[in-house]
Amino acid sequence: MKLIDAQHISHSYNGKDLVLDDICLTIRRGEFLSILGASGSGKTTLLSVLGGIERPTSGKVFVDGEDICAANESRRAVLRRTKIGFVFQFFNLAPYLTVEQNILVPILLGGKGKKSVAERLDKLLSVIGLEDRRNSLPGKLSGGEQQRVAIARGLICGPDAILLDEPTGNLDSVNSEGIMCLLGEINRRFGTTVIQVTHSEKNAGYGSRVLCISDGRITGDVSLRADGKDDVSEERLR
Amino acid sequence: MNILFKHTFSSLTRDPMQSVIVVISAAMITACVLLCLTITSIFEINASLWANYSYGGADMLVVLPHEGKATAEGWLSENSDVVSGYVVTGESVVYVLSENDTVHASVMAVSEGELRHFDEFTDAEVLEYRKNSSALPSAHVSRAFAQALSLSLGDTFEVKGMGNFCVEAICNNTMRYFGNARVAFAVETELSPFQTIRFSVKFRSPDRICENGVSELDNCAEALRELLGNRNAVRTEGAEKLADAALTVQNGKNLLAVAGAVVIVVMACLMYTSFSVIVRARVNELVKFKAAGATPPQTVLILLAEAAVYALIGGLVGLGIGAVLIARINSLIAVTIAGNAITATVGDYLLAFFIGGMCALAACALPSARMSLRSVRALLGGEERFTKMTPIPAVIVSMCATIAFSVSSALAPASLRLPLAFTAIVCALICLILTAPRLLQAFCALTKRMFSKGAANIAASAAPSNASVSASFTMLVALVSFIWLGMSLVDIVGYTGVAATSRYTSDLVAVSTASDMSDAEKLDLFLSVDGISDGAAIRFLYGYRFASADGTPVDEELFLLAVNSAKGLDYCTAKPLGENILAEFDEMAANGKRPVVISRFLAEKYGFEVGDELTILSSALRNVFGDVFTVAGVDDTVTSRDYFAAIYFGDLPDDIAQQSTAIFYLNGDADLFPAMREMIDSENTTLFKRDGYYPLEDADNMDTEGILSVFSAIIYSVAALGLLDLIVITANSRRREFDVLRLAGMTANNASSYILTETAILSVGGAASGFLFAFFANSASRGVAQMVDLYLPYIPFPARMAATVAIGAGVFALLWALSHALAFRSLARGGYRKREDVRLRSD
Repeated sequence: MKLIDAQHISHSYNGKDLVLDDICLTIRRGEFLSILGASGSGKTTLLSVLGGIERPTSGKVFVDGEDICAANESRRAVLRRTKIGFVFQFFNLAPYLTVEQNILVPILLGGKGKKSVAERLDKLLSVIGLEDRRNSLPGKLSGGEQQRVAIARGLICGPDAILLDEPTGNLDSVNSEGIMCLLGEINRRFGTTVIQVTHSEKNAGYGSRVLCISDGRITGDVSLRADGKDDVSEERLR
Repeated sequence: MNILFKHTFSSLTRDPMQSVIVVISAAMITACVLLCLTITSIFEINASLWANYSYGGADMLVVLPHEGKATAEGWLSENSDVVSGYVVTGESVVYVLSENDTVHASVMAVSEGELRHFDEFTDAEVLEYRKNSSALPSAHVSRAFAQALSLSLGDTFEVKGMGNFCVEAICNNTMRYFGNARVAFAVETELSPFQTIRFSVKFRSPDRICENGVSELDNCAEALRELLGNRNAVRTEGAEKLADAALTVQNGKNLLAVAGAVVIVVMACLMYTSFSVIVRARVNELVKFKAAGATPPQTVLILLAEAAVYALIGGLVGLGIGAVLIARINSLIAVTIAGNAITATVGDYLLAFFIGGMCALAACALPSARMSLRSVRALLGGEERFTKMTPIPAVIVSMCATIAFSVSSALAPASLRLPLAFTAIVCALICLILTAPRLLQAFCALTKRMFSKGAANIAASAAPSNASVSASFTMLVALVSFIWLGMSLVDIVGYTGVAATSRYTSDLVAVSTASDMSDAEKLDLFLSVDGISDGAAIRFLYGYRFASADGTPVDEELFLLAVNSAKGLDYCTAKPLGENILAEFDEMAANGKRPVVISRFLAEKYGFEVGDELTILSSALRNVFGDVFTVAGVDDTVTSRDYFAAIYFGDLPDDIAQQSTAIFYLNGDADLFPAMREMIDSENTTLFKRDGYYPLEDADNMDTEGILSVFSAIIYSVAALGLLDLIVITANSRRREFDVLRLAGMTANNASSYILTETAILSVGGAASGFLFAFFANSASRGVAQMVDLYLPYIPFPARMAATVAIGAGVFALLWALSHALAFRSLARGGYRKREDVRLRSD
């Protein structure tokens, strides 16, 4: 079942050079998609467009059937809060809020109180292993811990998908592995669609599907079997 | 090193608004220092004029009847070896008539051909001169006299009972031409009509000690007293009056130093806050320099070089602002004192530039040094600044100390108030800095209780930890207190310039020495004239002083006056006394209880309260009134000199009642003055418009208001600058925080709610906390007032100040909401991805 459907997306920051060039992509519910590419290949821009942070220069993006390119900024903000969780390389936690408050931001912004998600909050804190640090400020946490908080914030509203931009790009190998395992667990346990951007082939291997991108074009789309062997893509290699 | 400096200078233009704010802060410090250094010359000039005006620079005054003139002249010529010169004048109070006005003036009459000598002797500065070619006798008039009667060279004027004169010269208001309540002029005329004549004598070496161990001046005075057979005829206390004046000047300087110090401290705090944010924003650059091997001193130099440029530009701008303010004040005081009373020397400019620059550098050096000493690893922590909360016990201790000192400074005996006031102000400042973050935390906790969900809850959660927001809150609290304290100090300075006569409230004044009618009959006559609606006769008594009930004299000469009923009190208290005091006065008078109403000044300085008994003595300390008086009320009018006491006319002994002079204070339509004067004026009766009877009162008030308007402008500028500084710098420093919230799904409505909540917490909480500290400052300012011998009534929350502070907080709220809304809006427009790219590139 389709969750995100991108149709002929092109994007340019300066009106001349295309960062994304006519990309068509369908992402199904429950997938763990890794977008793999070198620096400057357009992978982060693609993630931003899919998550409604950037509006593409041309093309359309449907999330759960809704055209997010036609939605205004507020509507896209609501979508980010409810249907799509977003996690960036640099954690992007509100520095003046505690771990718990940071996780609760989307809930509070949605007009709900802590009580409405108390159980889910505890569960998430347990999953990310920071139950005893819930009242700490982000500055007191390690990089890996901060990234886990950011992931928990992306999941607190129970979104259909969580989009991650280089979630381990700022972390050492031990923390990286921990984060990737966490994402895999989230994907399995909550059925959340995970879409990550990475330049690490190793990290890309944690997903169920790998999309290779270069110079703004999709150069490969590979499904990984549970045994780790490549499967033939549904779409042709370009 | 060159590369570092080049980098630093280029960074000045990176955020022009921020740079401009820091430069203006430095400029305001310099301007304020320059003004404080130079404005004291007004005090010096004014005080020396007041002290010296009756002496006109002479060492000795000899006042005697005409019969003694030859004897005195003989002695002066015999002693020409010690006497360097003298001038003889006949002086009196006169009424000068113009078409639409009658002006109360002082005339100094000299013999024919003596006017130039008089001017030279008294060091008068002749501004304009044209030889009198008319048949009328010549007059040299003061600038204030010329302005009061709109006279110029060659014009003529009429002096009641003396005839007409022609203006030959207009002199600056210096020495003898200085107006002291009345405007002054000198004329050539016969001295014989004057009851007494006066010799002003200058000595060659007045202070030379003679063989008998006494100064030459005192020896000569004693010899002349013996020769004239009149000990009261010779006066030599001019030097003492100047010494007293020097003390007054010192008081004024001290007060100004306090006001100046407050402004400088506030500006320095603003600079410190601004620079802390600036330095924090440079954290990435500092990391790179440090990683490349820059030592802490080199890192400090990078920032200090930037601060030095701010100080240099700000200092120069500040000198310009200071010069403009000085020119403005000079133009304001030209009427009552001389123009250009304030002159700034090159030394003043250099000193102001140095002090201003040093303050600016010091304010910037601290955050620079703190940042430079941090390790690379510590700096990698990011740009965010977190509030450091003061431990609760320290907050409690500082608050208790502030409350204790400020309450005691308001309520303690007068003698203790000054030290207590200073301690209270210092405590309030420390307490404010320590307590404000905790207060913000408390307000936020309250808000979180009120809003358990929504953006409001997030705003209330984040605000206390954010050092920029917390600093903004602290600065708002400080500014509210500062505005209040500043206005209190300005008010105090203002009171020192309020003429003592301002307490008399009426449109018209009539003076009558006619003995063929009683006061009541005269008043009835005045009230029968068209245009006059009401009035009262008030008798003025001179040469009396206070004593406590047991007869211990108090060392103040009184403005003692007597009224026929409490109604008369309405005309001599600028602040209404209140119905209960008036009723009490009449009731006590009717019951023979001898009521007296005294000024707040006398009540507080000497500890008299309503119901206390006191005695009134003559100057020779004789109890001429017999029985004691009972204090019926205290008058809260405040002027520069409030030795005011009012008693019931019926309690005057007959002989004293006979000697007193009745002045009639009348209300009516002053536009009908010429017609009224036609009906009332006679040989012994003269009608004045109020500004004709007190011709310098308006000018005095105008001077004071003008000077204070300059000071108020400084205070409001500092406050406005503070607000701008807070808001612009804080909004700029929070872009990344807003970005995060937007990415987490904050909508425009959420953003509005977030900003409004934060605005409400800061402005309402800041104003409320500011009021708290302002209350302490206000209490303490009563103690400060005593530096200039003022005893102010205790008003916990003056409405005018409360309104000003409320407006200030409102403006803060508006600017805060607007600037943050704009910051949010700009983030919404620019792509996050683009900003992140820029940030990553800069990293």
